[in-house]
Amino acid sequence: MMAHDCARAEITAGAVALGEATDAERDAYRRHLSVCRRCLECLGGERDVERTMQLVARARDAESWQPEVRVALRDRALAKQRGWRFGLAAVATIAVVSIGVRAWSPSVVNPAQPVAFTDRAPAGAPVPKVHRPASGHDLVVLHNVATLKRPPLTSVVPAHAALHPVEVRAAAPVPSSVAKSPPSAVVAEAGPSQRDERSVAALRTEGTAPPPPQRAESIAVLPPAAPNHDVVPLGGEDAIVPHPSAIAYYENAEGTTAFEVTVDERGLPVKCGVTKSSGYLVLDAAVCKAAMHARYVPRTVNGRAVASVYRDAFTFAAGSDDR
Amino acid sequence: MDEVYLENDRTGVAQMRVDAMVREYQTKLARYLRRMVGDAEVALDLSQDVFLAAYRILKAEPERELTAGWLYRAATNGAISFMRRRKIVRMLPLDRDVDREQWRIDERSAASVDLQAALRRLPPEQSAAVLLTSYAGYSSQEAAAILGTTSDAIRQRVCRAMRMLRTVMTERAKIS
Repeated sequence: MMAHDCARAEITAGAVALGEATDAERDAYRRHLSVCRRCLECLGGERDVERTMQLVARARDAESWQPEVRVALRDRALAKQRGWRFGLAAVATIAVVSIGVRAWSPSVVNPAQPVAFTDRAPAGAPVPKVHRPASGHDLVVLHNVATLKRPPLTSVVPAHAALHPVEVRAAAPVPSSVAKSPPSAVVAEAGPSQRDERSVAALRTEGTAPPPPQRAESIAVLPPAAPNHDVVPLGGEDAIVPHPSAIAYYENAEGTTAFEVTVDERGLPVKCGVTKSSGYLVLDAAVCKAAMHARYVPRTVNGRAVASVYRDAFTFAAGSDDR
Repeated sequence: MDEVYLENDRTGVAQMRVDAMVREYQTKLARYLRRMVGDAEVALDLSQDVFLAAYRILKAEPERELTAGWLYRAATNGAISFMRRRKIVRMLPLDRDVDREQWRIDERSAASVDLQAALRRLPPEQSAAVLLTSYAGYSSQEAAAILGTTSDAIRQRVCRAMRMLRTVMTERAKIS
């Protein structure tokens, strides 16, 4: 009953503050305060309430800001119109320039496109040897293969796979939980005969070929199966875009690089470590470089940002021109 | 001005009505929003958002009645959304000197500074209740209609906000 009276007194104090309390309500409020010390200290008497509200009234009367929304509204509308015109002009310019570049400069090849490296030149154009894989494969980067919804094989296996010896193997880093679904756990690898073994050996990191079973076991606890959601890259997972060097394409480098980035409380990467190598230094280095260039949203504990570790994995697989 | 931002209006009814609303409520709404979010530039932006939303509605339904309560409700919702976003991204005014200059005017009044200090510590719902009643001059029933609650809830929020205001004043008195 007392609690109900206290709640009622709180409402009445609000009414007193707003000048809406009737005489009966004021009497009831006084009676309650005379028997409830807690409400007296917490809410204060009528004079306290009115004195506090005078502060708000004084602040209101002292307000002298005279904003001109009409002018700002007009400027905003004009900026919007200008923005549309500028945007359309920019899009048209970019389209014209890109068509021109493709038509007149077929030898310009960008080896570092973010998702699918389709650096194929128009038919009949001279092809730079260094960017052109001997096997006719391009390099496809599959981000975080363990979380892919559709099987990567459908987009990775070359169309001429049946004509050439192609070795299909389970990707070493795929965790056991993911390995239960075979389509998402396999990548296609070009046959050994299509490789320059000497340069491949130079690219390979030590002790990663073939991957030992115990290594695969240790990978099973890595975060690709349970991504670290505490800390995420600013702009989403796609914010990290590795750009391997041209030699990776030339050598048809493939494999999965699992990595972890230590992120400080400001969201800045401090250190990147490769927890599972793809077998190629160029791929591992490209992943870590991209991860260190990204910015992150740090993990928060009780509303405070704390340092944490972001873990993820990239799978590089050879694509094909025949796709 | 009207020809620019309302040039596509066919009937002109929406244009005239929004223009009248802007003339009458621009200062009140912007001041209310500045107290809510504590930033003059953001308050101006949010005010424009409210008037543009009103214009779009009137353009689609020229006969619809948009009251001042609707403006305040839209402004309150916009301010609360902004404050939620501000917890993630903190925005700085491009022209900080202008902002500081605008606040300096009010700093002549200690009551104004105290009020702003208290409002910064209050939940948005309590800030809105205090500002709609004591600042914008609405009764608890009208404020309740604007915020979609009951008049008792408004009185309760005012009472709780008042306690924070008194706490801030007491702290400042101790400091001084």
